[in-house]
Amino acid sequence: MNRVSDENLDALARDEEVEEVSNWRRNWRRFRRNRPALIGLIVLFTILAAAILGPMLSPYDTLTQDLSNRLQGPSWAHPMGTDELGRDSMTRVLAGGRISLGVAALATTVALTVGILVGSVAGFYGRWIDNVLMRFTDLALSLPDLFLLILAASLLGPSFTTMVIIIGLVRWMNVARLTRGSFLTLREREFVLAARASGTRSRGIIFKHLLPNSLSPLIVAGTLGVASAIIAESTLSFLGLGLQPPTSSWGTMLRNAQQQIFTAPWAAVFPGIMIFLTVVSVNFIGDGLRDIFDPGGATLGKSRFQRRLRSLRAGNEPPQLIAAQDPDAAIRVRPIDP
Amino acid sequence: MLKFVGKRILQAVPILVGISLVAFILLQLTPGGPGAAYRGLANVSAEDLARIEAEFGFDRPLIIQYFAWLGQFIQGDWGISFVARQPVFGLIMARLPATLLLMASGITVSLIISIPLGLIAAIKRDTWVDHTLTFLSFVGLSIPVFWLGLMLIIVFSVWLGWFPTGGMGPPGEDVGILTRIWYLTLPTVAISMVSLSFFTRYLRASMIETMDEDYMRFNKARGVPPVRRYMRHAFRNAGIPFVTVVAIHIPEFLVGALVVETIFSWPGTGRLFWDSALRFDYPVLMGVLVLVSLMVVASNLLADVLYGKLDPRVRLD
Repeated sequence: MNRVSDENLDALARDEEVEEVSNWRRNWRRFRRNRPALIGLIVLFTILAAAILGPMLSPYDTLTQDLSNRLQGPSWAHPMGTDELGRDSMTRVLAGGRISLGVAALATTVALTVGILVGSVAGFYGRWIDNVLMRFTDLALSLPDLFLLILAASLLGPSFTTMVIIIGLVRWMNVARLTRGSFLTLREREFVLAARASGTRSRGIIFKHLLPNSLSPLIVAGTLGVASAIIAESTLSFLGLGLQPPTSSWGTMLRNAQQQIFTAPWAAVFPGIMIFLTVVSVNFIGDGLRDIFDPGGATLGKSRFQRRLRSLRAGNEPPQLIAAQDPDAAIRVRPIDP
Repeated sequence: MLKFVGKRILQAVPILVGISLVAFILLQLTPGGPGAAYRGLANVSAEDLARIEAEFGFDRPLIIQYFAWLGQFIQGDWGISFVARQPVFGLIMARLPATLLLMASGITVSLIISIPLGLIAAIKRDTWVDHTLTFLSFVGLSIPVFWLGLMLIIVFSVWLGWFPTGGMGPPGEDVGILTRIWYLTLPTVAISMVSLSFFTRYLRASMIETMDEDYMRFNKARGVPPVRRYMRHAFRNAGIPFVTVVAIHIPEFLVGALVVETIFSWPGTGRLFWDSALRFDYPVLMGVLVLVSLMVVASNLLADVLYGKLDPRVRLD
């Protein structure tokens, strides 16, 4: 009897030490070692600051037209040239960044919220609820996102809010799968069983024990989600189904630039570079975060391969508590039905 | 094997039903509903409209409408385009070969480039070669496809004049293979960039994992020459998940085709979808959506089957 409880206590102690995300100093040191991630962070902050402060400091306004200065090339007065209505492109690019980044950040929040909700319910309650929700997730995954986005934009009409919602609603599936997967492994762990045994409510277990210990993959997924949301928004806007003038994001500006590629090719360069720089930075930051949370260097490749192999072999069974199956165990623990 | 494929197809049925339900519900949500094609026409009176709706069954209960719609859909009756006033099925099928050509070209080029790069990065792991390739693959993954296409047009068509700005070939001519390739070049580069970066990264990771296995170390100790070790022992094993990933990744080429076709005026299904979205031609949108979803389900099935076929450790039944 002693043997088991000692081991369990040990595991309990180790669990909470290993899973802890809040060791900021150690994490920061590890993040810093990843040079591209650090540079990405600096670039992203620069872009953010420029987008927020730039339009305020700029001598030009984003909407005032100056028709005598139409489609000028880059110069000292207009570092990124002027557009077809003589507006200063740099000011517009920086202001467009607010929109692009804003849509991306909010859409990712929507995606995380929906994904965590679906994933927690599926992973915690299991059984038929899990089955229904996961089939629904599979269904959502088999509708290619850009097609769905275009259809939704065409149905709902373009606006800032619709952009945020529809982009969020096509990007929650991976988050849900990650949350569910981690809940399934965690819910049979000793510290969760202990919490359950001591009478913690389901809500408490989800928010105090399961969710905090599932955060690391979600942080990485959320970061990378911002990158894909930026691309989704700019693609939609570029295709003419996103934000409409005078609200302009980087994608909208590229759509205008496309009509001028013969007369003003430089106009297509700058907004694109901004999108590219932001996405590259976010991707590098995501990679750095993955380094922190997964120091074994388990890459995307490894985990996906292992998961497939395992699920093909085990027929998708959630991991069981060893003690539950061990007939010689001093304590017989039955997996708790939620 | 056949049994497994049959079982997997059966497992896909709920998803297929789900896709059909989504399409049907979206069709109901469209402004004006499914009968909108006839509404607002000058020569259609209110009585005519009621008669048409009764004839098409739009006044019946939704559940019956669904099954009627599903039955027609399976038989290839995908409705009438609002804009072209032609059967949707024919419109889509006429555009499909162009998309498939573009996708095939993109997949081929991605594989031809990414396989050697992935192998080199893994073999030269942690050297400057590997770091450069890894960095470049990050860059490739982060370039928005539409911007890459735009830049390619500006540099290689407008500026240098080496390639056409778009289309599949000069209009009204029977196009030879060389001209076709000439027109395909820029769209292929644009559609391949993201995928080839992804494939390179994946193959590198998969190779490194395999090369860390004990049997690889044993082979080295035994004196197996490097080329044989890497190609025969490592690549063969690392290739299994790689093939699966390529199959799962096929839908990304569909999405890429949508963007690339729009930019390069490539007359495929993606371009048709975009045109229809701008003109609110909902029957066409639904048709394409269902078609691409079927292709996603099919490529997932392909991935599973390939995986079991290539990896003797996995038994399919």
